[in-house]
Amino acid sequence: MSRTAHLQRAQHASGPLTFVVLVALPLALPLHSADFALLAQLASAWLLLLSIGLLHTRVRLLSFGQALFSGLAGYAAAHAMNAIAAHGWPLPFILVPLYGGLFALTVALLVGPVCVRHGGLSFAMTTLALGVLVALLAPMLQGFFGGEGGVSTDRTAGPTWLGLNLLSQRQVYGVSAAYGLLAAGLLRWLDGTRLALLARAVRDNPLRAAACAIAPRAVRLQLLLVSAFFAGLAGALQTLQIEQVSAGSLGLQQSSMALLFSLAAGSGSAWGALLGAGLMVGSEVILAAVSRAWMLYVGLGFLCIVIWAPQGLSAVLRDLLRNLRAARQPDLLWGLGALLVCAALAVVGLSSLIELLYAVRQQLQGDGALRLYGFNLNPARAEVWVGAALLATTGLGLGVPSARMFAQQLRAGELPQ
Amino acid sequence: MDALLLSLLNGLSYSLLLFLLASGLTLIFSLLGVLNFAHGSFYMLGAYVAWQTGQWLGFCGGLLVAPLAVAAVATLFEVGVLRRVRAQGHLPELLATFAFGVVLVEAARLLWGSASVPYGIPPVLQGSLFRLGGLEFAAYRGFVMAVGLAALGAAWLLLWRTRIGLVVQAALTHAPMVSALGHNVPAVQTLVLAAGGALAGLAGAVGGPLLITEPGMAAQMGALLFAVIIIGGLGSLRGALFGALLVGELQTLAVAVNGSLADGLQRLGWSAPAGWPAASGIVPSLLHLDLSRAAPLLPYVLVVAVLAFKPHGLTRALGRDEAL
Repeated sequence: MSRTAHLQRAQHASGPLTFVVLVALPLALPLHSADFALLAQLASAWLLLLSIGLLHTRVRLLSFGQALFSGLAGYAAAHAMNAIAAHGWPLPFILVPLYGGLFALTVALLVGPVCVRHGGLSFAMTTLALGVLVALLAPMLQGFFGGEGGVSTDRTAGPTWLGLNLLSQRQVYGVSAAYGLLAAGLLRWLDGTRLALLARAVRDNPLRAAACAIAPRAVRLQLLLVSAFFAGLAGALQTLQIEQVSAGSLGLQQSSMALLFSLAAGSGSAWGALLGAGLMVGSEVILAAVSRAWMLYVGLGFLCIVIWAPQGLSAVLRDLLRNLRAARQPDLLWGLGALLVCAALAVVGLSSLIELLYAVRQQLQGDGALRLYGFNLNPARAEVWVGAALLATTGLGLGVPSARMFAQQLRAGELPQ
Repeated sequence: MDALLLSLLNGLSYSLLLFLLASGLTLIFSLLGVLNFAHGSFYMLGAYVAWQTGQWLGFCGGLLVAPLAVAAVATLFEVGVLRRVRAQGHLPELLATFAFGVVLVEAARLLWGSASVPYGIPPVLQGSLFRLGGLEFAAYRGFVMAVGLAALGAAWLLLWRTRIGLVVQAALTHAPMVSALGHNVPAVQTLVLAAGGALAGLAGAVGGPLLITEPGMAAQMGALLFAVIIIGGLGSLRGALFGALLVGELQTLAVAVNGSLADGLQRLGWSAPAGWPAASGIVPSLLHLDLSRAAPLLPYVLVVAVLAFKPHGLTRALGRDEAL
């Protein structure tokens, strides 16, 4: 057995364990409530991206309506929590996400037969249309959707069970993490079943699969059910976290951003989905708090990923790590470091330019100063602009050749496989 | 009767606007194999550029500059991004168009703000063109129709009566063969994306005053355009025309109707049980939803209905390789 195969097998066995430890680790750390809120969001985003990545990698279906499942499950969870609190049923709220998942599964059972008749664009467009339809309809309807205002709930109103009253964000993260691990286990089990093999056959050649007496529609529907279950878990967990659900959670924006992050990160696996969820929460929560131009950065970032890492970030990172490990050249690390420094320079310069432009166009400067990377800048002065442009051009000018050199070094050090 | 006729005419002008966009989208899909998610953003950019240049050069100047500017942006995008990722398959291309659409919308937000801009109908085109039984047909709607027909006529001439049009048509179905005959297929693809962008820019320039010019128009129109071309059948120009007419007329007629599902059922002799509350609850609020309010929903209802019965749209037959 070659060394790499050995290494891969060792990684394969240690991967899940590392994942469990990583998920459980924050619970043991003395983190703030805000950190746990962020982590809980990360967990539900992870589930949502996993549900999209599952469909895409296993049966090559692009779902533009995943928010349909997560959003409806969110509504169902809010209603379930309100009903439990109102009637005093002895059901703990930690079971509500499970109900949300099953609710989404039922929704998928209803709409699925229409969606899965054909793969490819037909599926993508049907889910898009269904998603937009429900998102537009929701604010107009009372009852289940609660009209414009949505439905609000209270996660602490349920009966306490095993000491879990869901008062603290730590407990909410614990519940979210537990459901995340449940989903990860389910995914791992699913990949060992016959269904995963059938799905691969349907993905690669539906006509041939049909000729072998495998019904492509049935296989796609089964995968869609699993995916909807994951998305439902995500939506219900989100309701548990923010105690409010409105039509915004059903929208096309929600679905398409999740799909984009999922594809950009390559989220067919647990690790890929974690990377995508990290990027998504990072940009939608952290970056959005820092800059009003965050969507512009997200769009530009996607363009960069599409151009330089079209197979997805996680695949590129995995290749990079493997090559670095196999090559064992100190030069490679230097090359990577130089590339990262150049990229950082370019990012700082370009983002400064964008922020300056924003400040000038939208009159955001207030007292005439703009705070950027710890410096107080005056957008009215020319040298600020020249400096930012200089940084950007230096970063780009040095970054492109160093990226080329690094790619050459990597290729030279590649092991024959 | 006159009111119905007028609604139909209004719907026709809206349909032509939709077809200006949908025809470009469909041609791009046929030739490049990628659904252009940035098409709504091209439309938005056209409206903004027309408004901005209109302040310097007048309305007509804006109308001329907008298609050219959007075509230039589309060309840059095709050469700079799409061509580089084409070897990787259609998914990166789709992602690229989506990301570029986001970038365009955010750039517009950066430059012109999130609120709508006051892009209005020029004074010459205000007022009514003719009266129909006491109701006015707005002159600007007639202008939109004229511009739409002129642009589509020009596109038709270009596509069916010129050499480059023949090459484009051949490349739609037999790209490798056309390439083997010595034509530059990548250049043809760039040209088609630029032309589709120009049509979208023109649609934005004439549609901006009619509807509303704001960054949100991109997402709204983008989703609607997909509905249009899916209803007709992806990749078919005839289907795009059919879909645009259907969606445009349906939406315009629905806005003019005063009534809800419950009213319709009542006319058929069915009335809601007395025990049902009037507005709360999901079923009663659905039944009492005014059709004029529900007009934006109808295209998507239509898409789901069409896809449920004819998964490849109304006009397109299934290819052998996509039967399952």
